[in-house]
Amino acid sequence: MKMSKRNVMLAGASVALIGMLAACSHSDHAENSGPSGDSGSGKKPTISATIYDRGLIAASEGTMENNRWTKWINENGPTNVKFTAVPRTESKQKLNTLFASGSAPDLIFEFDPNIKNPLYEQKQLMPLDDMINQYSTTYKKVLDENPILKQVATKSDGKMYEFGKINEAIPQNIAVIRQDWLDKLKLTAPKTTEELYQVAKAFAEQDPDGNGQKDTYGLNVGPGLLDIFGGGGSYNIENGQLVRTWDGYKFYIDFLKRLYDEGVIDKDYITDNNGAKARQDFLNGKTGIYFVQASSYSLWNRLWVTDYATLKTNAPGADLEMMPYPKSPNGQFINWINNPVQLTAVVNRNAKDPKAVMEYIDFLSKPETGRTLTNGLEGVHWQEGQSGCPNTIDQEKNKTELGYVGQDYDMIFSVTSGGKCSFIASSFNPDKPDEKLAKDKFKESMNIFYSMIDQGAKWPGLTHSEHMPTVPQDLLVDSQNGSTEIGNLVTKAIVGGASYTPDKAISEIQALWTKYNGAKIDAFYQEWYTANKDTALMPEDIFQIVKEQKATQDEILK
Amino acid sequence: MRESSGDRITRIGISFLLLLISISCLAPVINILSVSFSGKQAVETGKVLLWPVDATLQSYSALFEGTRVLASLWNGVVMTVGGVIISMVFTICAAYPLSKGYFYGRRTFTLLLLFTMVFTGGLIPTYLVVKSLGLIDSYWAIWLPGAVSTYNMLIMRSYFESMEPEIEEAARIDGCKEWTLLFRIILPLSMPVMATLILFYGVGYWNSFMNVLIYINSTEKYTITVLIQQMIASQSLLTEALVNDSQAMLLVPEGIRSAGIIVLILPMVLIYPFLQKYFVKGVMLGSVKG
Repeated sequence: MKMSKRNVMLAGASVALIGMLAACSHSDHAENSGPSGDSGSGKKPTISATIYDRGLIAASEGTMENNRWTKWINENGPTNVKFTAVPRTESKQKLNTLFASGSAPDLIFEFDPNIKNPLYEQKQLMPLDDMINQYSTTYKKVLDENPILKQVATKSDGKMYEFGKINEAIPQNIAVIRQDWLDKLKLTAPKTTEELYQVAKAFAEQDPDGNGQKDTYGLNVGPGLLDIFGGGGSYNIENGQLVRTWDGYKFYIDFLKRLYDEGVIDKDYITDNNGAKARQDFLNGKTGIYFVQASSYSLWNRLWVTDYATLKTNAPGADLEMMPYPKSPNGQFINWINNPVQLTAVVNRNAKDPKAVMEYIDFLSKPETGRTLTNGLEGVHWQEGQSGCPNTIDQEKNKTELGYVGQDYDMIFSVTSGGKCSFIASSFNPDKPDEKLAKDKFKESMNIFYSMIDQGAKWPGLTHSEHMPTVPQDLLVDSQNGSTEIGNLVTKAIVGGASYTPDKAISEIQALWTKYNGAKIDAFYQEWYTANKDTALMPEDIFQIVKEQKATQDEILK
Repeated sequence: MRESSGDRITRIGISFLLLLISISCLAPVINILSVSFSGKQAVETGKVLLWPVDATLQSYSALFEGTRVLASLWNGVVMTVGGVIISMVFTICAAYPLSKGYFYGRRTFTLLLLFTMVFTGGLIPTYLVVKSLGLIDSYWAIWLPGAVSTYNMLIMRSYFESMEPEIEEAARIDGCKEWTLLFRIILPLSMPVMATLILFYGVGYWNSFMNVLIYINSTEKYTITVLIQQMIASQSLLTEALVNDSQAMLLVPEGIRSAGIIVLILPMVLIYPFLQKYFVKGVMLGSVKG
């Protein structure tokens, strides 16, 4: 027994060995996981930068950190860039760990202000004014041409902390209507939300598709519908004071409740959280008015080229027209607009070589760089078309070699630097009938949009959500829970039957707002508004940018 | 023994209920399988339910040619197999001595291990430890911190404890030493618990997502779970639409996502039937003390 006792001790020691083994096995691995050796290309300085990984790259192309475009950047750019991939949908987690452990790259590309603002609060970011003044040429010029970019990048301490870009200011969501149904039922496109209700009801009840069944929907509860009523909870500005209003919700609930009770909309719309079911109904020719997101080339193209074709197959004679947002009892509101001034990059406070970072940003700001990192190489991926803009040579090749690029390698490139070729409408080839239609519809959409702005349509909210401040940490949980519960309550009110009146819903929403520290949140926004109303990007500024871009749009769409 | 009619009705009722439950579990899987083999337009217009419409392999060819699915599948296998081996070795080495009543300090060690079930280090501190050991960006960062799951170790320990002491005594009389005893006698008799834990660890490693995301920096080393999760989650970027992200509009079509899900679950689905017969026995054993 004595013998075996000693042996058991030996075996027992292996329990303790677990820890030691762990300590040993890493040593041979340490070399591999360190910074990958600089493949010495001359005297170029090395910087590190993030790149979004969306899982869309083909294995034949390599990885997001190492492929033909990263090589192109390192060969043609002023710096060697070592890329760190950040999974697109988990960028908050990934960036937080990188920063917390002190291994964050020098240059961080990130869209979400709710990730970047806390980094500023935690003093993890480097102010950019000195870098720009001392080293920049190209980006500095972009700032001079677009002072608004500097204005919105300036944080509460008066310094600039973010690089950004000017985007094409176009509607994010649009509404289209089945003109053939309108004609058949002898109706006209709705001008007010009351008429919208009437038309939708007729679409659902008067069998516009003529199949003898009541299987059509008036409209889909899609992106932008709430904006017609002025958005959810928002603020009215009265003498420089923000006054919280729930009127948008009130009219929205009132409107949607009737549609729901009368079977004008899909009763299961609540479970259709990504809009797939709504799109199915639309493609099957079952939806009269379709609210849809259309803020990029691929979405516009999908709606007017591929989806329209599918719709016509399933519902011969289908005819789609643009439907301007009708006027609600809360006023006339404009479509939500793509964020025209978007901040997309910050610099790590610990960046070793700010000069190199600045040179890289300058490189990315050049029109040639922007063009290559969007359209690829001339003669390989594109050639110049009639309009003087790049035309794709081989769709399939580009899908593999460019599909994963998007604008992810050059997130600070402004459309204003790229000129007319950077605008969406330049990408449509008018020689192809379906693309010509897409382009015509785009023109129509823009004209509606301009005239709505001219007629004083209001912005559905205080300002663009990306330009709202991040609620401070101590109020954040309350603010998030509050808006979730208010959202649930709105849904409950819509499906809650006749006894659940809009007024009752609003008083319950107000109670919830009070419960979740609404007064403090209001005070926070008030304080921000008072201090920043002249410098922050407000709706007037957005409309101004739309007007500034009108000349370019007109030139493309003439 | 003849079944009474009451028993019979109960049996039929239970079978029917179980049938309903299995159908409700299987239907979504079959739906995804059908979607993955259907034409794009049929999927988008909602025509696919439980059988492929316009059957095609397009989604799979797009998945295999257009993404890093093969490379990441291989990574997933490497990480899972490596992880299971490491975990099993350490778990056995911990469970065996702790199962012996005469092992010195058995109580203390057990308590120390139990402690980790209640208290953990938290994400950032753990990350810093892993980083200071130089394990970042290698699978060791996933294998080592989670090498022993205390819960699994306890299952194995109670299995060892439940073995007749006579077996051990007989072996020792025949001159068996400690390691021989473990490898030649105890482990071969423990196949049920081994199979169970291999499955537990295997599924755990195969599905591990956050750890890979946090500790692995090179996308080259991403596993299939991370890749597929990325494809599926990208959908939410569009619906949230709070942030302008033009590339997010490049949606991965539903067919390709479904094909990805099928590729992701296939290995586990294939392995389960082979281990299942041990599986039930393994979890059961140790639960009855006699």
